[in-house]
Amino acid sequence: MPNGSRCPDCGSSELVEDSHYSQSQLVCSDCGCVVTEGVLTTTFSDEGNLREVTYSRSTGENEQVSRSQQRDLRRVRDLCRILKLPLTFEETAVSYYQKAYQLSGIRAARLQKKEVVVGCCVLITCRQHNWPLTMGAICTLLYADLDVFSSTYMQIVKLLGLDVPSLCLADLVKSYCSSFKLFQASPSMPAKYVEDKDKMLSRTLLLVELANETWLVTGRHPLPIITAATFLAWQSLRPSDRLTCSLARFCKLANVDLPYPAASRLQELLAVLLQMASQLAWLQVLRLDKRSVVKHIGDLLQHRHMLVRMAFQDGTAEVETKQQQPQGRGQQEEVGDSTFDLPKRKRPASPALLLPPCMLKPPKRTHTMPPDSVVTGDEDISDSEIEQYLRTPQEVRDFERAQAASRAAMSVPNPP
Amino acid sequence: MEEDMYVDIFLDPYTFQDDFPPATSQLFSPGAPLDVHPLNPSNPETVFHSHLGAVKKAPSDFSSVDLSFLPDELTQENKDRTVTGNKVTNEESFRTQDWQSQLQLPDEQGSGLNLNSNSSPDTQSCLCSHDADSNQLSSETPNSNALPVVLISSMTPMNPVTECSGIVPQLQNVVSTANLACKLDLRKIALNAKNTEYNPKRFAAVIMRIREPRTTALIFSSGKVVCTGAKSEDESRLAARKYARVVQKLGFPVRFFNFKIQNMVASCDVKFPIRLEILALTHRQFSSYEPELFPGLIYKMVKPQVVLLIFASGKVVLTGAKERSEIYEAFENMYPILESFKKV
Repeated sequence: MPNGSRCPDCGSSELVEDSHYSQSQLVCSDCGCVVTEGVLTTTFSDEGNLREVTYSRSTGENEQVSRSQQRDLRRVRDLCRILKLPLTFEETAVSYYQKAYQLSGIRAARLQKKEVVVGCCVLITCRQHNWPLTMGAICTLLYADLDVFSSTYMQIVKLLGLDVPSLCLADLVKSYCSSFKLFQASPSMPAKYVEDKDKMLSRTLLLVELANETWLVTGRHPLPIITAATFLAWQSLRPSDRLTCSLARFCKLANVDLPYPAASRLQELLAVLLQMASQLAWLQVLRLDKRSVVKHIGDLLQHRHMLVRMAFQDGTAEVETKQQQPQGRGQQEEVGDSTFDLPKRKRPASPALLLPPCMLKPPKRTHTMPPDSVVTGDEDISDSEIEQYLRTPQEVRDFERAQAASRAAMSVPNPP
Repeated sequence: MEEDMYVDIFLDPYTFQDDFPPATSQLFSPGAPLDVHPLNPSNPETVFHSHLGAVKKAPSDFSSVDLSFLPDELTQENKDRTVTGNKVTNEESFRTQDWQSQLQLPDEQGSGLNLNSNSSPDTQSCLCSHDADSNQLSSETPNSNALPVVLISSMTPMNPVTECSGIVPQLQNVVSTANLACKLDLRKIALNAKNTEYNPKRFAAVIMRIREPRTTALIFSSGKVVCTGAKSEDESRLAARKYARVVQKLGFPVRFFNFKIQNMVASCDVKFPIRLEILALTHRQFSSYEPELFPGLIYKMVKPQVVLLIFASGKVVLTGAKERSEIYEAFENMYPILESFKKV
């Protein structure tokens, strides 16, 4: 009993200590007035001994929440901690999940979709903070199908009215390159393969930028391109020892997965580099190929803006030229192109088109379009045309007999 | 030349060409503020179409976004197939034929109107607009030998069509429904018709195919028929009538009610590459561009209510329309926007 304290409301001296969870309060027993509030934990030593109870673990939060939502909210927090996201991300993802749970389409969904909703909320939060997290990574962690993830993600973004920014390629390059086991020697990693991380990162970034400028990124999955760029950057930093290493072996040594399209992206990127190399005078005499061009990636990247302009003609102009001349389908040489500033002793090859790779490939087969039939929808339908689709009574009997036979064959039990 | 460029910039509100930062900085450091734009809820047509897409066997490339599970190479093959088809369809001779067939549209619509005694006023207004277009085309024909141009006046003055693209989207798929107005015994149909598949444990409809026009139909026991795979509205109607005749030959007292076009899919090629990243940034309230899920940009146009799938190669797929004019109007609305991303 405190000495001489009185209630400010009714003046009673019947004050008692009454704890509200972990908060000790001084309460008047006559009128219920809270006279004083103590600290949330009784002593600083309790905090030091990790005995405080956070709100998310207390009984208060779970009073109004269904068991299903409790489990999913725990899943959101667990996923954020597995990915080592900052704490603010966790709270944002939880709030998105709570908003999504209000929607009837989500609340009544099956467990598989609810799992995917957990991943979608985490992904949206990461995107909004430019955190480099791919959908493939989320699907791998949740054992989710990318098809289910795709439809659910589109649905949530639409229903919650969110504006989700695109995946930031530069941040993804940094985080993905850091996951390669290339930066210190180990029993499985020879010393000649170890590389400095900053050099590797800056060169990979430049290669990915080059790929973006030359239409190799648009509409593609990002990880195969980054894998190919990382491999090229790694090879080019010490080509004498690394040109014999293949992409598959590189990924195995670096302990990363090899995405299936990465080999195609590598070939496309090498083709771009070859085109750029043909514009440098001291490289023209070397007769470079896709293997030897790797040695000169540093020079090519240093002058990459000028080389891209010189090596690749604007594809749009070429397409327009083709449209203006529908008759002549053969390639015509460009006469007196004023783009080239360098003095030329001999005329180089006509510049390649800077177009997406799918526009450069010739169509695999010419699809002959049947001539448009003049159909009004009101033509007479002949009986003979319809009768070709009908079975005769004999055919019906044969069909029924065959069906019965196949049904009987399936119902015969297998001999032991 | 310069004057045309300025006129384009002045007239087209979607063109922000002068304000474009370089593509590299936009892609590698998207500093755009996170503004929330509430989108339209999904309409039942989309659900209906996706339901159809799960069942039908007719080949229709990119009629839905269900290609997200495919790896990059398979998606590439699909795009190549589309490239193959469109390249042939975009040849000038076929374009001329399409132009001629479009000129005949008002007559066909007129005959259709005469047959249907209970036509709605909307159909009449549609016919009037078709007649107006026909007059414009006929007046222009003697003057120029240029490529055939479909002149569709834009409804809203906010989007004036500053130049016609000269490209006509080609119809690739028409989905229609009809009502045969009697209960059907699906087992009897499957037993007596050769061109059917019926597996009631998997799907509660008979799948029937005919050769000319090459279509696939779902026939339900309630008498409803869904016809897919036609290349024009008239082909779809003819095919639906043929399915009704087949069912009638099997002894059911069918009639042909409530024929309606439910969905039309068209495709075309603008012949220049498109920077999808910048298009998604500048039209983010209409666009959805997720290269991890789908290689194209999904553009949901509000008026007309058409969904466009735009690819980096310049191929465009238009889906969700119920009339041919909606497809043409949507493409003419979209073409100036796509052209503004050509130079970046």
